[in-house]
Amino acid sequence: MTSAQAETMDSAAVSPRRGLFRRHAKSVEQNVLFDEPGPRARRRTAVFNAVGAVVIIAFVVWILYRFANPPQGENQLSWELWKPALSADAWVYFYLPGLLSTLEASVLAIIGSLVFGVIFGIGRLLPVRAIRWISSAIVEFCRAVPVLLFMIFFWRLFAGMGLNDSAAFWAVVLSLVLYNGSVVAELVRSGVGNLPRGQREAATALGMSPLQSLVSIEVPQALIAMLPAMITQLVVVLKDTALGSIITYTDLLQESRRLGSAHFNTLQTLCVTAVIYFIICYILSVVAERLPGHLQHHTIGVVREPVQAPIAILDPSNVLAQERASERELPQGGAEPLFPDHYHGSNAVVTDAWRYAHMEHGHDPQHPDEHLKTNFPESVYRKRATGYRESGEDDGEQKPPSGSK
Amino acid sequence: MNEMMTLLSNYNVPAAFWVNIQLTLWSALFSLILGVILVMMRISPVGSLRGFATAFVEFFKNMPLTIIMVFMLLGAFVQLRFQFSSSFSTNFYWLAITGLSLYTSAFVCESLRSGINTVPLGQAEAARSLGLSFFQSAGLIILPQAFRGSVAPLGNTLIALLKNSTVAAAASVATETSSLMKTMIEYNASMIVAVFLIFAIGYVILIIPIGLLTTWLSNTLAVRR
Repeated sequence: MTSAQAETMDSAAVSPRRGLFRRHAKSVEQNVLFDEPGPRARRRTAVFNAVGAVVIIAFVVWILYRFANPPQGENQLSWELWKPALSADAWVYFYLPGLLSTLEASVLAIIGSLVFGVIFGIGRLLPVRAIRWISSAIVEFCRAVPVLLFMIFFWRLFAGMGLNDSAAFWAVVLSLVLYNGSVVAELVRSGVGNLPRGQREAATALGMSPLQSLVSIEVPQALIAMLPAMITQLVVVLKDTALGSIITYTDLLQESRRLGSAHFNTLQTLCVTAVIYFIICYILSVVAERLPGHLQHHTIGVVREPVQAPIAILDPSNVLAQERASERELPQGGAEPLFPDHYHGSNAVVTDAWRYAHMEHGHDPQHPDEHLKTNFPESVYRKRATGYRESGEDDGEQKPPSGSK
Repeated sequence: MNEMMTLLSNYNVPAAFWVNIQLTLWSALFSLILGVILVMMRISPVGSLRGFATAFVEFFKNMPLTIIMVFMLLGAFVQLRFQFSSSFSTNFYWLAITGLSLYTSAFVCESLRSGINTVPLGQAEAARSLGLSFFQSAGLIILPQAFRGSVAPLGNTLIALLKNSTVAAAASVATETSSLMKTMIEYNASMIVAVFLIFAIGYVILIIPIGLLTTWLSNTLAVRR
């Protein structure tokens, strides 16, 4: 990576020195909605702060009061109810076995969805129309159908096929593979799309076929770039295994319900379970959030979690949203940008008109300055997308100026 | 095909979908309101509100929806006696909506926050130099533009909400699609694939227009800069 390219990356994302768990320097303090207040504003903020704290404390107290005095019910805060939910036996016989089967299903599902995602992600990028269409149809279908419906279907199907003991387990795993795999397929596709075109051009120049180039050059880089998004997906998988309890899979949630029904303290066991889920998912989320800075120097792709298009077929226009949203740092204490900071132009199926469409869209093409910056003919970016073309066939297209756009 | 027709004439599938759509619409309304309040709290200068909103969002973002739904049923209703109505089905229906709204509002807040990124700094600076207060600049300048910039993530959230409404089965809403699908499979085990396809295709048909609309809106509404 040259220094010029390094500059075009988000400097915050590149910095490798930042600790994985350390807070980002850019915090809400630099908020322009209210920065550098005067003495009056400071007093007012302090008053609001106190009032807010009182309201929040009152809210918490009300919740606790409700726990202690439910109408016609017993005190839910009493140690009699909490003790069986926290005892060593509960951990050994219920929570830990439940957690184990939750993790078992999650790990299998995430491995499966990686395989599924890479296969169908490549399938959607290949120059053979039939393969592309079939892959697209499968991915779209799996993304649109609720995971719970998949689970119920496979559960009954496997049970009917004679898999009595493990029907629920395999139903959970397969459903999660299908849904999350299709999300990963989209990640692979957008990750490849965000690599600079030179990567494929170099591979083609070395005599590689499109498939070879994808498998050995582009997808590996895309996978590194997509690693944070994959960890986010791991959180989704972990959360979705809880759906398994509806189809009688004995995961953490199901075990806590069993424990609760034995002692009539489901509320308490659910609270403990919620804390376990929260801790695991939160740690994973934090890692996913901090990871980009550590990965940027392993790939020339953009290490940012992309926003996925509501329907993946419509991905190209979503690239526009990403482009628009990525143009500056964190104003008004907004979130970390969810979008690639610099869209280098796509060498994926997202070619032709869409590649330059952000020039047209996010920036007023009628503006006089705009024509000074865009030195390629207007006909190029007016042309409609016609699907896959190899980069060698590009006719007279010039790369749009990178940098500020 | 024949199997599907028989199934469709024997069971009222559209009614089940209508229940899911209702759940989705109510939850979308409440989670949008809650999400806007949360995002206002998160960008406000008041530390205590910011902290509370952050904790709320992080909690619900990292919590399985199923556990929230089960909590609504077994925790909030059975043990804490939260009740919306004396009729069981109405009660479960609104408990499910409460759970869905709480869960979704965290994602609405995050979507709006990413939309706030699309608003240039100059907008807020101009608002302040005009002497607008926090509420005025947030309500008149920042949030309207943030909404226009976050149509795509909000659309994703809406689609996820529609799919998540099937989890209402965990809160004992017995009239929605996943419960009906379970019943239909129980009584028509030989036609299991047809049953599944009916519901799967139903969701594909519901979700594609939302996706198309979202994409069109996000292109139309995006602020040209």
